[in-house]
Amino acid sequence: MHDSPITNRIRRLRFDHGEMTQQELADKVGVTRQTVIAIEAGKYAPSLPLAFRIARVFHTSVEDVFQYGDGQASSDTQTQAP
Amino acid sequence: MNKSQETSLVLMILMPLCALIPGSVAVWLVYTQGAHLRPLLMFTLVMILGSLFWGVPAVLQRVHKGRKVHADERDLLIYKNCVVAAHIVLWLYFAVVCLVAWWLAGPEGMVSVHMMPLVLVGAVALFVLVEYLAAFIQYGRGGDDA
Repeated sequence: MHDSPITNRIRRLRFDHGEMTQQELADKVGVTRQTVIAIEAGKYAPSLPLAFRIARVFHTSVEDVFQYGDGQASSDTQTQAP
Repeated sequence: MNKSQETSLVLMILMPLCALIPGSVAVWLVYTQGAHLRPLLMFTLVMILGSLFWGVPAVLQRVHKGRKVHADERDLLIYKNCVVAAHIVLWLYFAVVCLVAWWLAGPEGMVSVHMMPLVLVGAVALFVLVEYLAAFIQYGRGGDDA
């Protein structure tokens, strides 16, 4: 199990969008709440289609939600493979 | 422990029993009564009854009906990892069984063919045990959903 350099700021975006709950986000992107929890906690790196769906919910780009490497400073969580 | 882990834990205990109990009864029926029509029909009946236990996931899915999404890409990935882990252990099991039988019987010894169906039943039980143990471990990495 290797650490992935992918980070995300889903938690912050959820709170910026009317304190959206994890279940609401999960329903909107078509996954289980467990998966949203795992992504937020950096335990699971989502597929590209799921990453786009998440970004679309927040009306932003994928790169604004997920960052690769340490080039972006706005990251909250480091993601690793499941 | 999250809900997925609870489900995996229940299945990890239930599924090997579902393989061991009907499988052992079926093998015992053929051993004691021979491969005639009546024991073979009983064998089939036991296997059909045993196969009903495989509907447990569907029952659990109905229990969790409130949730809109039952499974997603992460579940699929975890399931694939579980099957791979179970296959690896299955091959190791067969290798160990072959070597142990060879070691116990010795160069001039023989192994009864009655061992073969029991080895198969054990393989099925071990496969499902490892499969759900792997699921239990992997779902634990997702974090608590409390």
